[in-house]
Amino acid sequence: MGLTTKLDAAVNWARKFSLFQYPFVTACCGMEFMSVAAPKYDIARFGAEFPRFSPRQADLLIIVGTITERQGPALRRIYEQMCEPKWVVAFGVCASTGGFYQNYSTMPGADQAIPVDVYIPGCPPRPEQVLDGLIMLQERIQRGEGHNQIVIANEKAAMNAQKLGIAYDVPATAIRPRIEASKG
Amino acid sequence: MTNNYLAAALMLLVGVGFALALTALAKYIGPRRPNKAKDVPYECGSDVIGSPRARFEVKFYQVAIVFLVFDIETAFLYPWALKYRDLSCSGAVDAGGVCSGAVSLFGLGEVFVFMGILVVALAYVWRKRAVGWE
Repeated sequence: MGLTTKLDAAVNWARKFSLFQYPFVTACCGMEFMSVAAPKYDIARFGAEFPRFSPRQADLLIIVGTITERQGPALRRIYEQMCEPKWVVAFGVCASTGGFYQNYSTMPGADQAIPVDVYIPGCPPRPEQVLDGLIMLQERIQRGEGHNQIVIANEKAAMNAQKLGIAYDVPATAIRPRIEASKG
Repeated sequence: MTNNYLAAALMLLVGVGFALALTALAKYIGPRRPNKAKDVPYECGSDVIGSPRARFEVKFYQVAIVFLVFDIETAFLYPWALKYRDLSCSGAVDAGGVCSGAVSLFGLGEVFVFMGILVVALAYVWRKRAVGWE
């Protein structure tokens, strides 16, 4: 285990216990989100203490509720405005797949607009499920497998390869959202 | 005495130093990945409409000033109301609030003078058409 690997592990360890959430609450799952954040289930115990209501201060986007086609671009922009590395959790079936809304106005899953790391099923999910999802995310963060962590690592590798004059193909990301990056 | 101040100064130094150190650390070793969206003001994901330097009507300022006059009036009336029993008695007032001396009109008169001055101010702003929103 090299020194940089150890440093990365330490940084990732710090990251997984200092998540600052941005709750993108659009629907009734918000009640369950409040329950998770409130003292009884207390998401703060797991190192995701603070809901921040500005994407500038957040690195964990929690999509709580149905995302409509009209909201997609807004969600996309908020995602882009967040600090990096960032992670995304789809909270409930509506955010994951569109849930029981099978119609023209509802996006069949928030991953049509932005990449998603963890999907929490349930309509709405129990707070325990949310905490379980959070722990799963933390494991991914520790392993450096968050979607944004992978993007950053790939860019770093490409830059290093360029410095050394080696050809390096940046792997295509598995998640390709339908909505283009906003024009800024 | 000097030692107490020294402790306070040290506390201040550590507090400010800690904040500065953290800011500097974030600035120099924090990763930075700028993009276009991060330069856009945060409007809950919507496009920005208009300039943040929009102009307000000067009437708001007028209302604020007039409000201040009556706000302070109310604030002064509270201590007056609390002291009213003492002010209306020429002797001492016991714990039950019973006056031992003669009844005086000093407290009442005083507040009328105070209100009178404010009524003059109100008459003035009324005359100047500062009350109202036309």
